[in-house]
Amino acid sequence: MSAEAEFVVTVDQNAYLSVGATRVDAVVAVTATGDATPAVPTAALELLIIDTSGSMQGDRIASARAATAVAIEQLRDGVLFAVISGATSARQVYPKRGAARADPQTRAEAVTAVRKLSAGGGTAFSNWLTLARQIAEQHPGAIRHALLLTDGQNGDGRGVLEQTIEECIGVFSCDCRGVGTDWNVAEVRKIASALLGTVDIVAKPENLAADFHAIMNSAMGKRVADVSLRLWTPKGAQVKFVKQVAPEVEDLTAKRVQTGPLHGDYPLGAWGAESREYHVCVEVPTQAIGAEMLACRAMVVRGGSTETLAQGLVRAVWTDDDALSAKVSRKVAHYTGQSEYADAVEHGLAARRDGDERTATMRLGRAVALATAAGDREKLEMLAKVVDVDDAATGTVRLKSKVSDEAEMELDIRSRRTSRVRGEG
Amino acid sequence: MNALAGSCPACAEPVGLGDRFCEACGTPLLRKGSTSAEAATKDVVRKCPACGAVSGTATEYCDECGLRLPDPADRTTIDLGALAGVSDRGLVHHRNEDAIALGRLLDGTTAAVVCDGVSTTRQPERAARAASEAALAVLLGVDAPVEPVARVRAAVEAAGTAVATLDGSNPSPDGPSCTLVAAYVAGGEVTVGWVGDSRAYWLAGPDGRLLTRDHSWAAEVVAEGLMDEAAAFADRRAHTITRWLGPDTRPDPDVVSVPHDGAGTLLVCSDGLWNEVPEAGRIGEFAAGAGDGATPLAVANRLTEVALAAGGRDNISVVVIPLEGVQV
Repeated sequence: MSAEAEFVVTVDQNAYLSVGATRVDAVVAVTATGDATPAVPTAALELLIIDTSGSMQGDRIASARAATAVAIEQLRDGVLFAVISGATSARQVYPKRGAARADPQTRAEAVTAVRKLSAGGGTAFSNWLTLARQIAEQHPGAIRHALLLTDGQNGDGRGVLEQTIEECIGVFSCDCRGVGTDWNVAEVRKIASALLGTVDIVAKPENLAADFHAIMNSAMGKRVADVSLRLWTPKGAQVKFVKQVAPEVEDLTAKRVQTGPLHGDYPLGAWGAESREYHVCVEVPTQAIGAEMLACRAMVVRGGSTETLAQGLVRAVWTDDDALSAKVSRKVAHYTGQSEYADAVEHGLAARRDGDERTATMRLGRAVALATAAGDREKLEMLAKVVDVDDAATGTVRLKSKVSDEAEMELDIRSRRTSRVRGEG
Repeated sequence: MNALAGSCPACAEPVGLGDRFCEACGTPLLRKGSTSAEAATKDVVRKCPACGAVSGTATEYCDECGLRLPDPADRTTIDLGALAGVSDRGLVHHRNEDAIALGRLLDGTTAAVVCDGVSTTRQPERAARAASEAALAVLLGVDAPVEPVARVRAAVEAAGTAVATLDGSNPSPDGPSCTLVAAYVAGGEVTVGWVGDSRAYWLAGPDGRLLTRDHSWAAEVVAEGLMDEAAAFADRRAHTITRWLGPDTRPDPDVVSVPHDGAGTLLVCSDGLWNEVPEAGRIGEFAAGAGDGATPLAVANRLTEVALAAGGRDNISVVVIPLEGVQV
């Protein structure tokens, strides 16, 4: 009997390549099904980092206090936790030092301490993250997760934040939430991307509690710390890119850690009962007609261990039958479109901010065309708040002259969220 | 004491009907071959013919250059003289999930088994190999019922048990599964038992006919008069099988027994052949194409080539048993 998650890897691809072809694309889905009993298999540490800078005064700090209380209530008994308040410097709200073990009494004490939070001072993410790291480092081996809430732009000096993030990689993961519209998406995304977390906007402070509830639900569901995707590729082959494509687009290519002459690991963070998908693109030496090659062995491994928890095979078979090689796997096509959409939105909005209307119109038009092709109504609704659509199919659009900050940020943040598609039978 | 069947080919001492060994010199009187036995005797050193690297046993691919290593089961050829079988990977599937097993006693008693692994289960080739081996052991064994229909049923039962217990006491619903068709020829009678859509045909010029009825969606809707054959086979569900041997099911074979008068050929095959050439008459014509007086092996090779030339979209297995003049 164990509460151990069981991993399953499935591969969607068209293995057939035409004569001379060298590029192999596949979507690798990693799914873990956990034991339903909520036993605590591995120690867990939860860090709640709350922005208490001056800009939080009023509704925002009140909502943040309430939302943090909701998050604290959701901590499972036995989970280690700490609450940090962040302004120009960071300080521990509860407990005074280190982490507390959740039980009815510590949860009540933490909520009382959080109710006294008031807003004042500046914003220096690096100090907040450093304090979180120092607490996390006292609990190696635990599933370590942070939730960072902010409403403003970072006041750190040049390069300071990047350096701090670098130090936190592998120590804890971090989901980030921005309240209001005065924060900088790119800046916060930098933290979440590096620390394997998500970013979202909570435009209305009163929605914060529900959002915290969802984040904690997911965090408390994690069962396995430090999972990596290990890609073996044959001699002479090269991984062109690895992108997480569901639930969100995240390029992992640069996160490769070489772990053997023919394989490298891509850290995925902690896992619960969930499924994530990865678009893997490998360049292989071409072979004769009829030859079959293992282009990539995709393995799920526990960090720091050689034990393979599950694996899937990406194959390549060379054929002169064009009917076979011309087909593109439905999943590969779907996610290629979805990540192109995310790029188009991000570049389009950046161009718009820089006053490059031509590029902005072109890129956002492309996003409209892709969302139309995918039949994604939710994405089209968000785009319609930023552009007027003349022809959805071809992506002919005009930039709106007045766009709310909220609509723009929402479009930007959610551009990477993908819809799923079923693979071939 | 068994009735006398002839004399030992090695020492010429008389041997009894159904004896498996000569009681005088110990020479085996049973000749047999199977996919599993062939795979076990072939070279197990996993040296890549392309780059020369030696790979571990757990992989089908070279650990260095990734090229697929030749698999001994890609093509199995078993030639017992009076009958022969071929099992081939085909051109599209990346593994041969079919298995064959065939054998013959000195007295002319002959048995052949073809199994086709169900691709949607894990490692289906394990099921096909275990089932064909287990069924053949009963068909040509000394302890099985003498009455042919009962013997074939016992063989299918043993195959079912072999498949169901492949994963020990921990079977999972997607554990190895396969179809099975078993033919037993003795005393002027052909007895065929099957589960799934592997088939047996009687090839005799224009009088050739299919002896089995598929346990498949298409065959069942046709049998129930719900659709005509053309419409049923055009349906997406046509080839969905309705019975199989697996961890989640009890063997439920159909068994038929037909007398033969020695003027034709018994063919046992997987759908890799009949999907390409379904009709007994056409298969008979292709078989005849191997030439007058062609050996069973030549006919089996010929039919395999026909299926490969038609696209080889599935694994192909055929066992050819000419029945001229074998009555006892």
